Amino acid sequence: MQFLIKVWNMLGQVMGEGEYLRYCEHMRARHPELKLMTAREFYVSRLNEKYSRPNKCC
Amino acid sequence: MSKALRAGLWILISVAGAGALSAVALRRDEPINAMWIIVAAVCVYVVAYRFYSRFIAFKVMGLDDTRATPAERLDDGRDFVPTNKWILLGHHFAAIAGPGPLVGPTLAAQLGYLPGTLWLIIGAVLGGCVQDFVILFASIRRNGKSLGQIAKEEVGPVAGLTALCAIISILVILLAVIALVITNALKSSPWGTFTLAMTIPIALLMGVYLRFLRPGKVLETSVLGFVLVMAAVIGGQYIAQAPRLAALFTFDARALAWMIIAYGFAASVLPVWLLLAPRDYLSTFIKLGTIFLLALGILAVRPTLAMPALSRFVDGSGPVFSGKIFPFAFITIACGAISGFHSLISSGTTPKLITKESQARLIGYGSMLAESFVGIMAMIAACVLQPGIYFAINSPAGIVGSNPAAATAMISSWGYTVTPADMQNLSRMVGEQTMFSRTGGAPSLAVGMAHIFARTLGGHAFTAIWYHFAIMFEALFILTVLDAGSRVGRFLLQDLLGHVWKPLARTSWYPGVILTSALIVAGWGYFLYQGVMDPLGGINSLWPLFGIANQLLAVVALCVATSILIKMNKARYAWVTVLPMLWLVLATQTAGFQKIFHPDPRIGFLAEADRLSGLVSAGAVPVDKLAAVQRQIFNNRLDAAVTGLFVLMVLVILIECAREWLAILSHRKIPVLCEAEYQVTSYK
Repeated sequence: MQFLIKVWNMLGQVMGEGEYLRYCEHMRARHPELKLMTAREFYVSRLNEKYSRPNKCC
Repeated sequence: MSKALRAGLWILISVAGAGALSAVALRRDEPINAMWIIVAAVCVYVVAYRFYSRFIAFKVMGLDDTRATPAERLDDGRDFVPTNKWILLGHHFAAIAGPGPLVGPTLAAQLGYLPGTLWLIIGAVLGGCVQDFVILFASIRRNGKSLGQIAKEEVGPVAGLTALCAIISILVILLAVIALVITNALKSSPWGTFTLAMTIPIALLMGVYLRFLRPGKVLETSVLGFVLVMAAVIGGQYIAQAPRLAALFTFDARALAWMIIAYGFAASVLPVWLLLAPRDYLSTFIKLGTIFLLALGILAVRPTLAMPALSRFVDGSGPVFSGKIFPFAFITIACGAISGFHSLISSGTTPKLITKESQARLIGYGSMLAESFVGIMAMIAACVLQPGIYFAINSPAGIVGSNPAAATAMISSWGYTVTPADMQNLSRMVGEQTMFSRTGGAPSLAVGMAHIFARTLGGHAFTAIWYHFAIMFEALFILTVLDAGSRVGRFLLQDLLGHVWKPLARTSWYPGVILTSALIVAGWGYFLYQGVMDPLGGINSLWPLFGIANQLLAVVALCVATSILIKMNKARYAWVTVLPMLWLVLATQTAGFQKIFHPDPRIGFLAEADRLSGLVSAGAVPVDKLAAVQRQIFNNRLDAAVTGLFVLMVLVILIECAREWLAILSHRKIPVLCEAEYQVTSYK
């Protein structure tokens, strides 16, 4: 069971989960004075960046 | 493990690989089992990874783990983020593995399993993996810059601009040809069309769910989407069986082409979160799962290959594509052996996420090995089919005719027996109206996959569901490449046109966005439509064009990589990139030349245009077909011009690079490497 949870989390990370948490950690550690984006704002702004450069191959 | 034991193990693996490889290559008298190919491929991969990639990593490029990577130095919590190497491997693999390694080997199977299999294995370990690895390394050393920028800085502005133009034109041809593959797969197939159509509302639903309800919960959303897609795959069967519903989802190729064009445009201008991103998640999830499942299926079934090692079509007269093994086998299989497009991914997101330089070996070299293995599995899936059935599915009606009896008689006369009853049986089993002339590779791959899956899970009763699952799987990620590609094409074009008129480069200026999107979609849409109208099915002319384009991009990437090695004072190891580059230059220039000038109208574009204009001037074309033939003549000349353009662009870059190399090697010029400054890492 624990193995399955691990695989699940791994797969989630491959697909881009956890980016928001990492962003929050980063901002708190390095730029505590700046306002954090909400999860929704972050999600949309990340997607816009991701899909503006080659990200899929044939 | 003691040293001797380890050495013994590596010797054992090498011997097993060599043995399996020679069995694959030399056994002619009886059909071979797919396991020989699997063992040969895996042993070669393992040995190449252990020794060759290590040599490249430390001797040639000098990967240095004391050097901080961009992810560490520029960590911004968004673009530059140090990421676990296994997660990054999955990420990178999901980005590089698309429909190419599935379709190319399926088409190349017309030559027999041997040429394609050898090229997939050897091309990957000596070419494709090397390219991906070296470009990834170059981009890591340059703060994650793109191939175009690296070419500009390391070679010169002419090379940079040419590379950008080459990338855009290659993208256009790529998108056209994969759009043609799904058009052919969904033609007159209400089941398949329904399933794929349903993925659009499913993606929209996922988009809304991810945006408003559970932001960022990608995996659970993908699982929900997957359940819905499976329901659509199973439900499609009831649609196909109800005549009135089936009529709603039955389209000819022309109508499908227009729908795909409209879809591509919409996806490129709509907000990303709504359609593009959720469909990408869905396709990544299904892609990783299905590839894994296919590997398990092949291991469980251990099928025997029905296709001979070399078919009679090695002489260049094949119905799927025309031309001899050299150069056309190496053009038909691009992705899976070496794909220039990967250099865009290796110089994109991945270099910004890597934690240590040495991990580039696993991620650059390793994930390309995995893609090569996907190509091997596709080759096996195509070769488990009876050759007669394979040719009946893949031969265009323009060659074998559209009458079942005549078509099967012709294919049987080639020595690959098949009867109309076999084909009818097959169509009934997979739940399609007909399986004749379903060109493009996707249907025959789906039959092969269904064959393997049904023997593991569910038995014959499930063949139809597995077939449509496989079609959905291919179509889903073709559409993902199509919409992501159209959007990226738009950004690249904006970037290029921004040099001419500044406002066009602004990504928030709506008229500019609409204009550049329309240009990109019109570009691939034109070639798609041309392919749909082509009596030979379009794959015949467009797939080689795509292969040439993709390999030429690889030449550009290897050229840039060689420049970097020479500037790093590693000219003595430059053969690592120069040898695959020379091979590709040879293959693509020969193929390009033959596609333009070959006297056989089935190979040369100009010869075909001349043949058709001869028919027109002799009055042999009926009046109602005149317009169509005129268009064909124009299209053949256009294809010749496009091929010429590709060849020319690469020659420009090749010459630019060669001048630079000579100048440096003869000490006329002091090499200046544009690497980011060395900074020591704080990681252990």
